[in-house]
Amino acid sequence: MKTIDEIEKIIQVTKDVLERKLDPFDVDVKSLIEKIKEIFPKLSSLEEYLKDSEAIYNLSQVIDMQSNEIYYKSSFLYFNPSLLVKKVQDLSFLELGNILSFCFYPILSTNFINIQSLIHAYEYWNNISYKKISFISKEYKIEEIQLEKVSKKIEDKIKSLEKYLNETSPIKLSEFIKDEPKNVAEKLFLLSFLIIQGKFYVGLNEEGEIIIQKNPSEIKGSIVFNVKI
Amino acid sequence: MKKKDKRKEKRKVTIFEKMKKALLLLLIQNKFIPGVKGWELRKYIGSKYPYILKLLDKELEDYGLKVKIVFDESIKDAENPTLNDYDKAHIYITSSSPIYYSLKGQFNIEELGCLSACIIYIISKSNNANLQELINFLSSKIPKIKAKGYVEKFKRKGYLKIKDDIVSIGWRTKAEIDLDALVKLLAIYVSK
Repeated sequence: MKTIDEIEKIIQVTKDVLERKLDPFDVDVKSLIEKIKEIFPKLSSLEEYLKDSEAIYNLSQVIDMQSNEIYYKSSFLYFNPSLLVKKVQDLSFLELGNILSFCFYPILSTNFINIQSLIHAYEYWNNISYKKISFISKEYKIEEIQLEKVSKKIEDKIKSLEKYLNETSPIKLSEFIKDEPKNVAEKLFLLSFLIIQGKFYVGLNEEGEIIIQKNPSEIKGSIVFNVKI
Repeated sequence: MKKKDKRKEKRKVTIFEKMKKALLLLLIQNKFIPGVKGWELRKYIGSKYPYILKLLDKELEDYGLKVKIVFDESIKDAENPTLNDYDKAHIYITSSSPIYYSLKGQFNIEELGCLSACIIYIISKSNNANLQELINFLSSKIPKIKAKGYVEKFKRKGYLKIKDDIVSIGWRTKAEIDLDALVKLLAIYVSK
């Protein structure tokens, strides 16, 4: 076996651990380090050295995971986490729900509208001005859009956007529309086709920002954008 | 009234005003996450806000509520937090005792059981579980599609955090659920 193949094998094992596909204690770190030590004198190219350093870095991450796990398990004293999981499997959801309800302290919060926000909203509403978007009337025919059958030129544009999103998603909407104002409207318009086709999904992340992501979600809804042109 | 008493009275009024301000800031939801960060409180009520929070906590005790401070994971000494730790912390108002009878509005008992199973599973994987494995674990009890839907719902509500297919405990779980008590209760629970 080539040296680079052996290193790649080690990288793959460590990656599996880091992605939680393998238990960190399934990896025999000591033997892998010995193996790297044996391989090291045989390395010749820069690529091999880079792979070697990547393998060592990943192994150090695995050691860190092992130490964290030992610390975590020891902090539970008598409660072995794997026994708890076994117990969860044996109990019914009704029993689990009842147990959780005894440890549940809900947060109190409220929403309200104040005079300041109403004034802001009023000013915003009065200043909205819509302009006719030129590209829609020139290139896109309304009948085509309604039938969801678009011309070859537009289809190509959709495909190139799909390719771009495949590489970049999940991407924040604010990053996606960083462009000329005219292009922004067109980008969003083309994006709507990809959303209808179910290839991409627009939703909110944990911070409340709008993101475009690849994996379709079960949530159905729509978001209205206001684009300044 | 003596000058000293007058000053004392004035100080009382100032503290009371600050407590009112803190209460409003904590209760009114800003954007998507309820509660406030410590630095936001410092901005509005000054650098002595941890003291104001203590007083507010005592005041809320009578109404069955409490001020819950969730410190950042990077905190060095959790028992003696510094002002910097308070600034990074997230502060909420929660109920001081579990209110299991009003939970029906938010979750049904199956969802609650599923959330409990998710949390225990994530804890057992030292707060870093693989999403696919978690769904497989849940699908031993409920259909896979349902399990996926529940996980999505818990993520949306902030109970779980999913990044690059790795699931960890979300901000709402840290704020609302007493994890130690959950583990202990589960350990001592005997099925009928």
